[in-house]
Amino acid sequence: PDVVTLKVAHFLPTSSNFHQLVLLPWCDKIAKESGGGLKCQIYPSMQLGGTPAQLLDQVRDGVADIIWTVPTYQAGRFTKSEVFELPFMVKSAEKGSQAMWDYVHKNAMDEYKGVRLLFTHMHDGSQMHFGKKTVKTLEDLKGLKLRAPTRIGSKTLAALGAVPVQMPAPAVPESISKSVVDGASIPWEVTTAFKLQEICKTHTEVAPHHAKHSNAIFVFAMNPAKYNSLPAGLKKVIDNNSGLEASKWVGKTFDSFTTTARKIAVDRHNTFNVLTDAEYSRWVKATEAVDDEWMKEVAAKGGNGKALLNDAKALLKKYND
Amino acid sequence: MSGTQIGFIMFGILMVLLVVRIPIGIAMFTVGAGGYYYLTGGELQPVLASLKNLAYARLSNYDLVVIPLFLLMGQFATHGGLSSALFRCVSAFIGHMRGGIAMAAIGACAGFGAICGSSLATAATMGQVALPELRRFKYSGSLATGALAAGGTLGIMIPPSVPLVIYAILTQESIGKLFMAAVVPGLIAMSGYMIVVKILTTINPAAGPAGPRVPWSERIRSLLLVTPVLIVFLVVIVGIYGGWTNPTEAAAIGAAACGILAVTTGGMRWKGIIESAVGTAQATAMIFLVLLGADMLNTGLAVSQMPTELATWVQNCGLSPLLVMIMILLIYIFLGCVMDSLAMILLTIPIFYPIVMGLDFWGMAAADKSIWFGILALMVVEIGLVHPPVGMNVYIINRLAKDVPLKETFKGVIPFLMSDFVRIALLLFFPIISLYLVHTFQP
Amino acid sequence: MSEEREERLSYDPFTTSDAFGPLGNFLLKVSRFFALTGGLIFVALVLMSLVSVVGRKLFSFAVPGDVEMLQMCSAFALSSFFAYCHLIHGDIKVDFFTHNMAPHRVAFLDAFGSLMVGLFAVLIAWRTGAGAMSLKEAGETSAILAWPVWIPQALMVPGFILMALAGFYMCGHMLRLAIWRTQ
Ligand code: NA
Ligand code: NA
Repeated sequence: PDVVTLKVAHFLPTSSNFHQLVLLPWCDKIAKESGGGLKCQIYPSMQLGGTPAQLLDQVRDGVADIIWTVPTYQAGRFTKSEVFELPFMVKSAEKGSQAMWDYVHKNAMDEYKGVRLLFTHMHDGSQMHFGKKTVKTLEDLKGLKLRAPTRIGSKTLAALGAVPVQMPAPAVPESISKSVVDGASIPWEVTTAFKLQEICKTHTEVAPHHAKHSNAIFVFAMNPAKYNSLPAGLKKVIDNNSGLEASKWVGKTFDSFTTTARKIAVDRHNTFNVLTDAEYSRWVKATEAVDDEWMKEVAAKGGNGKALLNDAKALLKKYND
Repeated sequence: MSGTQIGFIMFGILMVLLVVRIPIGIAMFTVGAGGYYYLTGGELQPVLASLKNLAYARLSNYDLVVIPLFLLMGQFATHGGLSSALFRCVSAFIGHMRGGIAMAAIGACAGFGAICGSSLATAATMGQVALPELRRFKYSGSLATGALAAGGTLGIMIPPSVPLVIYAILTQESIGKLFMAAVVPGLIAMSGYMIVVKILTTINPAAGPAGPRVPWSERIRSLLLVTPVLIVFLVVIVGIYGGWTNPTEAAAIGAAACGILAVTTGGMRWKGIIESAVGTAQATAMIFLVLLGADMLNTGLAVSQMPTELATWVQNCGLSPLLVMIMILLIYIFLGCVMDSLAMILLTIPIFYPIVMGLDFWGMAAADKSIWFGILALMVVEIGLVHPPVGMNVYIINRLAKDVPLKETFKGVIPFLMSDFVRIALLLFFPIISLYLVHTFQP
Repeated sequence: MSEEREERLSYDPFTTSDAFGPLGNFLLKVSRFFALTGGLIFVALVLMSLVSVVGRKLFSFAVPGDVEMLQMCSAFALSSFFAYCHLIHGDIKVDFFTHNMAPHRVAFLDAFGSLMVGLFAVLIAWRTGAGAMSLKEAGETSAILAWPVWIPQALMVPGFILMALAGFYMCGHMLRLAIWRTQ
């Protein structure tokens, strides 16, 4: 029978956790379940041209059949979905990813016009990694230069009193070792690829029962026309590998990266500073303005920020996050 | 038809377009877009959609901005008279030796290369400064023009270097590491060219008479005039490598420093600034048109899967890695006969890089291999600038030297080419030459 | 006929004049103005980066959004360079195979090359404009300054339109040279 080849594009190199441990297994699974009827042709590292921010447009326009990206790279377009990037929202990728799937389908589908979402997920949450600074309190953080992950992440760091600096992740190790920045707000998942555990000697974390100070949303989306062109049997295979369950699986996989990456830092006898409950409350309080500003942005687009934020929180609760 | 076959057909059509003088960037674009259109099942929608973002993605790329900035830096240096200060300084020290003025021209080219990212600009600028002097001291036409054409290549071999920036961006390599890795090979290139002059003038003393001896007071004074150049170079290279600034910021600082120098000590005024701006515009457009075309071509090639399949094939065919590398270098020299150095890098790196990274060379680590290959590729595309039949530097210098026939210049370049080959062989068998500084000053 | 037309037509990065008619000279003037504007934008960007770097190192002050400002401005500045480059024969070409060809034949080939430059520029201008419109519709902004991204992208269109005009003019110009040289 005819084999349908799906062009899958993303922005990370083939060595990335996502490529190796999420995308390849997903592709193997659909190939197996379709009896070889579906095949992925993967284009990593933006091989189809353009920038990571343009990936969603590429799948909408049919340049790629499936893409994986951080939609908020396009500032101003995913304001409603951005709720999960607000400070101290999400504890685990597994729970957060499921909440995001529900939330987006309930509240934010207009932000994904022209694409078919296969799964949505988050990473394991950003923690703070420092070259040599010890940060246990808000006061310790004051004036420190930190690499910021996202737009909201940048505002969060500023609200906490740090100086956010934008830079691409690969530049982080060199910048920390040369004290261009004092540290970085980055999820454990990414640290392995850059050997950040060797350069950073101290890590400031929130306790496992608390939400992380920053996160990023990811979507895995398909071109709807391509989906519709598939015979019913193959559609079924795609359906079976997308949705809430798939989102949960990806989230869980991302959580598992943390364990491996964190162990390297433990083995190197790095210092871990975990925020006390009292300190944690101070940090949450300090960043409330970020939520307020986000609600204003939603209002400017005719949405009800307060209701959306509460809904996101309720969904996170539903999944015991 | 397999993707690889289509890939090869794309290359065939590209060659035809190049033969009939279609601008290289446009030819690459046409073939890339055509191949992409064909490979996506003859539908216009995907190719039109991908074009929506092509120009903005390329022209707003933060890393690529270093190119106009390095070119601007070179323009300021030219219009601020830094080239003649450099030449006067080096010839004050070694001009009294036999062949000394030609050696001084080569040394000055290296100095100018340290603040200029382009070989053509270095050849043209130093040619204007040094040729009249070389002729005044009765240097033979072939030695004078040959030394300058070869010396011009130091413009890209001594960092900053536009081809290395492109290589870094294509391979997601660190610009700072590549620049650092190019320093020692660049200095070896300079010494090699000087040795060639020494040998030539020993064989034939009449080709390069000695200049006058300059008193030490004069030497020191000329040295003081060029120290800013050294400082600018150090700020840019060390700044980038040390991670104190990113390459774009370092290039901006370098351009600002050269601009300030040119205004304060070089007498550059509005006219010079305007000429620098327009000169930068022209050289930048030339490069970015090729970049736009290469972008489309690389997308087309990626869709055809030819680069990946070729790399797998080379890995499995059992040829020794060294032999593969030598073949790659020979292909570069062959392509250099007809092609521009930048276009060569853009065209071949997406194909050769995966091949090289998949092979084992003396157990070298992947990170080292990637830098080493970048420097090797730089050296070998640089040769294309001087070897017949279309060595661009040779034409530029020859046009400045109205009384020297083109044939003389090409003949004059041959001994320098020999030193190029020796250096490439050295670098091939002793990767440490390029990696030493990178390892020593590991940030 | 002016004797400037006798100049070599092969690639010469430092040619600045060509015997153009009034239309061509007008185009050249406009293109030079565009190129100069873009070049001066880079001079200004150099100064901005300098302030930003020095500020960050010495006073913990950075020009807010300096990176995205640089990106947006350089996209516009770069797009304004192409027309001038083409009008002064600045494009990189392979002239190895046509080295010994009669000048009128070379001019004929170059007319074809310029036509392709014109068509390329029309295509890019059209698609870049379309891209800008969809960005406008989507309301995408830059991350720090929250500037609408469609504006810098739309500002690239005039540069490409000028490039298209340059390509088509040079096509006609080269054809004229080809015919004149044949006679
Ligand atoms: Na250089
Ligand atoms: Na050549």
